[in-house]
Formats: sequence, C-alpha cells, structure tokens
Amino acid sequence: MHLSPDQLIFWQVGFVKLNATIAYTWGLMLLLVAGSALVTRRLKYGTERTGWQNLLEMIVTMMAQQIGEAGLRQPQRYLGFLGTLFLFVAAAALCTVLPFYEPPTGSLSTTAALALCVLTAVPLYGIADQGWRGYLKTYLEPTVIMLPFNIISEVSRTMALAVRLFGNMMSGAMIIAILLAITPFLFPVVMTLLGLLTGLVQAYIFCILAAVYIAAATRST
Amino acid sequence: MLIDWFTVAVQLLNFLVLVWLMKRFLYQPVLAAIAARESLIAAELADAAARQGAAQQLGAEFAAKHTAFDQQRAALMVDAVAAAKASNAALLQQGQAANTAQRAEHAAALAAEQARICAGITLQARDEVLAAVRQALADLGDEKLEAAMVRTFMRRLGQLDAASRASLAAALAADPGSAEVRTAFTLDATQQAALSAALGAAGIAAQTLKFGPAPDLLCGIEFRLKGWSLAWNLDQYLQDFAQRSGSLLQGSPVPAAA
Repeated sequence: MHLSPDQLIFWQVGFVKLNATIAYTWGLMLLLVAGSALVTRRLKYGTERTGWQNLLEMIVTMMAQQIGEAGLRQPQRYLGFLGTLFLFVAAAALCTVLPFYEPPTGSLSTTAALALCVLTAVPLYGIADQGWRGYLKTYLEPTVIMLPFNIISEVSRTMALAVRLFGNMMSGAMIIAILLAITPFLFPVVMTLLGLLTGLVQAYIFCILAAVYIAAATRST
Repeated sequence: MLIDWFTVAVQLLNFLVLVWLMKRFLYQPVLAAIAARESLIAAELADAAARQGAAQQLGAEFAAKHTAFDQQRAALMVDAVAAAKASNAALLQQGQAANTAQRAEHAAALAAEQARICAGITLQARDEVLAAVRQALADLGDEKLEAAMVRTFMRRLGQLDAASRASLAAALAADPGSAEVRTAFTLDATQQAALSAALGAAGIAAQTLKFGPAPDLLCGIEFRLKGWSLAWNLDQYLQDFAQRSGSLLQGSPVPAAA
C-alpha cells in the first residue's frame, strides 16, 4: 500500500519519470478536453440546443455565478483559471468510482502544484488590476508592522490549500482501500459515495478559496 | 518524502496546459454561444418591444378613431333624431291636415248624402201624398164637384186680363175649329150653354165648340186651343202643386230628386 500515487511509477529515466499521478492527470485532461471538444464541436447558437450543450452551459454559467458571488466583478475574466481548478478537482474526485483509479489530487505534489498556481495567480491578477504599487501596498495594510504577518499568511494559506485537498482526497482513498481489504462490499461502496460528496465539496472549497484570495488581491482601496 | 518536485513541475505544467485547452474548447465556445443567444434574445426582445410600441401606437390610433367614430355617431344620432322628430311633426301635421280635410269631405259627403236622402224621402213622400190625394180626389170626385169646378172655371174666365183674352181670341181666330172643352164627367146641356155663354162673355166666342170626356182630369174642366190651354181640374191642380213643391225643393241647398 502506498500513500500517494507518486509512488506508483510506470517509467523512469533519471529524475524524469512517469508515475500514476502524471498518467491519471493526463487521462483526466484527455477526458475533460475531449468531452468539451465533442460537445462544443456542434454548438447551436439559437434557442434550440442539445442536452449536453445545456449541461455544459449550465456548468459554465453556475461557475461564473459562483465566482461573481465570491466578489469578483468580471467572472468571465477568471473563469478559465478558477473553472478549470474546479473541474479538474471535481473530475478527479468523481472518477474514484472507476476501478484501479487513484485520484491525482490524492498526491501532495498535485495539490502543491495547484496551490502554487493559486499563489502565482493571486499576485498576477492583483498587479494586473491595481498595478505593482497598489498590490504591494496591500502587504503594508493596515500598518507596516503587518508586513511579515501578511507574507506568512500568504504562504500559510497556500500550504493550507495544498494540504487540505491532499489530506481529504488521500484519506478518502486510504479509507476506501482499508475497508476494501476488511469488508469487501458494503462499506467500500458507502465510503465511495461519501468520497464523491467529499471530493465535490473539496473542489468547491478549493475554487471558492482561490476566488476569495484573488478577489482580496484585486479589490482596489 | 510526499512531494516529488518533478511531479510538481509536471503537474503545474499540465494544469496550465489544461487551462489553455479548456479555454480553447470549453469556455470560449460556450460563452460565445451564450453571448450569441443573449444577443439573439436581445434582438428578439428589441423587435418585440418595437412591435409592441407599434401595436400600442396602432391601439392608440384605433382608440382615437374609435372615439372620433363614437362622437361622429353620437352627432349623427342627434341629427337623425332631430330630423326624425321634425319629419314626425311635419308628417303628423300633414296627416292631421289631411285627416281634417278628409273628415270635412266626409262630413260634406255625409251631409250631401243626408240631404239627398232627405230630398228623396221628401219627393217620395210628396209623390205618395200626391198619389193619395189623387186617389182620394178620384174617389170623391162626382158631378157635383164637377159642377162646382165648372163654376169656378167660368169665374176665372171672367177674371182673365185683357192680354190673355186677346191672345185667346187671336188663337181662336187662327184656328176656329180647334176649340175643345174636355171634362171628367159629361156636361149636360145647361152646363154646356152656360159655359158657352161664359166664353162668349170673355170674348172667346167659338162658333164650333166641341165637348168631350177626359177621364185623366180626375175632376174638372179644360179648354183647349191650338197652342193654348185653359183648365181648372184636379189633375192640373195637383201638377201645379207638384211643380211648386219641386221648385221649392230645388231652391233649397239640397238638390231635388227626380
């Protein structure tokens, strides 16, 4: 038994390797992009449309609405980044029903990469919205004394993002694996369903927290 | 070690690639479709608003026309009612005048009819009375009455004016044989002689005087010449009475019946 899919290595040359995290991530990417391309290939611009197009439009509209409710005034501007965060984490959690699948979000490397993306995106959006001086000034508020605390807060919340998602997804996968070894049928099914709910909730939390961080950075004084 | 930094780098790169791909294949097409649909719906709403505006304008125009039509209809109705009242009054007056004239005509016709009937009844009554009198006199007439009437005739001969006597004498001279005395009852010789003497005293001395019966005279005497007749008899008397009464009825407003 392994704690992280990083430990399941399919191929390695030096430090370059192909582990389960990367492989399942590519699979998820293929699934998301291929599914989107299939549905959006024949989009209808009139009032009549297919059920899949309705589903996609509903998901995109819902995500834009949630981003707007988090405090971002132009949701379409952040929809690519925050929406992809949500869809990737949610898809990683939903695919746990598949056999021999391990969610890449159960790897601290993946969650750390996503947290680093958020850590990078927050200042980028803040600088794009307020400029260098305006964004850096937020670290000095309310007083200069708060500068180290603001920096610590920035780093710690990034670590919290990564560890929270990793802990939830890894623990869910571990519990399912342990219960599968002990009681083969009933409890693993129940825990899998619970894991689906937990994964969707974690995707929502991850996306909303990232939106809130970006909103805090882009809010002009 | 739970973090593999190579995996972190690869996942970071994977995520950035995924963001680009999702933008390319999901968000942009879907947002474009939503924007196109929203613009289509906005265009339809604008078109609907324009149509609604046009409809409201048409409705306002229709309401204005309806109001004008109502007013025009009310004015026409007032005019029509006034014209109908005037026509009604004129027709009523005309009808009343015609009725009055017709009633007067009917009254005149009725009065004329009444007068004609009254005249008819009067004439009929007169004729009946004359017939009754004629019958009574015919029943009562005899030689004594005849003698009295001869005496009266002779007395009237004596009372003739000069002009009548001259005319009778001229007529007698023109046709001496035409003198004739007609009586209802046959005169005896004494009466004939007295009558001849009376004629002679009146200047009408006929050389050949003929005496003859005349039952149509009822009772009385008639002296005839050519173109002349002098009589005193009941039939002549009744004819004179009928002529006088007829003249009286003809002189009245009611026309006399035949």
